[in-house]
Amino acid sequence: MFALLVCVTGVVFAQNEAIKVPQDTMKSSLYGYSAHLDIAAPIMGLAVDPGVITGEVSVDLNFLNRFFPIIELGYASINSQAANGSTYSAKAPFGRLGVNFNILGSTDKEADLNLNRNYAYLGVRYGMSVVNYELTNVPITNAYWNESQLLSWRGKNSYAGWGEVVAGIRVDMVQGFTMGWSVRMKLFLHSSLDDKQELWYVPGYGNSSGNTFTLNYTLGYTYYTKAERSKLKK
Amino acid sequence: MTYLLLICLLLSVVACTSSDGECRKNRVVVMGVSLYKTVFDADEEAFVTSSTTETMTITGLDNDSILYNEQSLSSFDLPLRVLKPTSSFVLQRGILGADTIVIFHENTNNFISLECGCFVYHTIKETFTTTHQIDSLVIENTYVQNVSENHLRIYYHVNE
Repeated sequence: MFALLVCVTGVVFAQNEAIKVPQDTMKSSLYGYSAHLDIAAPIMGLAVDPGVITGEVSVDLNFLNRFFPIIELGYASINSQAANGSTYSAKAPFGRLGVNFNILGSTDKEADLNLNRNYAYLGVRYGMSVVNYELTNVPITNAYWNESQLLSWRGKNSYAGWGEVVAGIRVDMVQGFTMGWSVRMKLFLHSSLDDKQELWYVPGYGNSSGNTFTLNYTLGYTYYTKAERSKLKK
Repeated sequence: MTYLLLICLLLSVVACTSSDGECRKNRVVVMGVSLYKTVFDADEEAFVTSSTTETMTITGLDNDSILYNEQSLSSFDLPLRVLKPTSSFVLQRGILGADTIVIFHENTNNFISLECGCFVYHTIKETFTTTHQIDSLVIENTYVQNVSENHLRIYYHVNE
C-alpha cells in the first residue's frame, strides 16, 4: 500500500513543474474552504458489520491550493452479535485532525492559473474517539475439563487514538459543488485500556485489531474567497 | 487524472474487504510436555540425559476422559484448567506404576475479538509430582499461550 502511494506520488511530482503563482494573486494565502458529507461512510460501516451505523462530515481550508488543513467529525454506533453469542455495543462521537497536500500543483503547463480545481492529494490524520462500550456474554470454555463461563466488560469514557494515511482526489462539479474520493489506511496508536482488544470496534476507526482500510466518497460545497472568485471570472 | 481514478478504484476494492465473522486464530491453548530419561553411558562412564519415547496413558485427575491411551510419545500437550489455578494429571508409563503431576498456574483472560471470544492463557507458577517413575519436573517455559511450544520437561528415573 505504502509502496503504491509512493509510486503515485513520485509519478505525479515528476509530471508537475514548480508552481508559479503570479504575485498579484498572493494577497491572501487562504483561497477558500469546503464542507463535505461522507456518503460512503454509512455503507462502509455496514460492510464491516450490519450493526454499524456511522456518518461523518468534514471541513477543510484551502491554503495556496497546496495545503488543506482538515477537521472531520462524526458519530457511530454499533450493536453486533457474534455466532458464539458475544455481543458488543458502543456509541461515540469521533474526530480527526489533519492536512491534505495537493500533489498535482495548481498551474497548467503554460504556468497560468489552473481554473479547474481538481486535485489529487496525500494526507495524514490523527483521530480520536471517547467510547462507552459494553462487551457481554463472551464465553470461555474448556471441553476436556468441562468448564465454561461467560464474561462481560463495560467501559465508560474509554478513549482510543489512531493515525491515518490518506490518498484521494477532489473534483469540481458545478457552481462550487465538489466531490471527493479517498482511501485511507489506519493504524491504531493507543488506548486508555490495558487490553485494547476490549474496544473491539472504535467509532471512526473500525475494528481495533490491526490496520484497516476504508473508502470515503464525499459530496459538498467549496466556497472560494473573493479574490479567488475574481480570478475565476477572468 | 485518469490513472489516479483507476488506482483509487483498485484501492477501493481492497478497502471494501471486510471480516467474514470467522475466527482465524489458533484457539488451542495447551501446555507442551516432553519426556526425558537418564541412562548410564558405559563408554563415557557417566549418566547421560536424552529425550525418550514411552508408551503413555494420560488422564486428568478425577476426569474419566483419557487424553492419550497407550500411545508411543516423546512429547504431548496437556490442557490446563481455565477456571481453577491447579491442574493435575495421571501419567502411566507402560505397565509401570502411575505418577500424578500437579501444575499450579495463574489464569489470564484475554479477549481476542468478538469472533474468537476470550482465550485463557496460563502462567505456570509451580509443579509437583509423585516419584514412582518420575524423577523430577523442570519448567522450561512458564507462559502458556496459543502457540505450540514446550513448557515442561519430565525426567524419569534412571533405568535399572
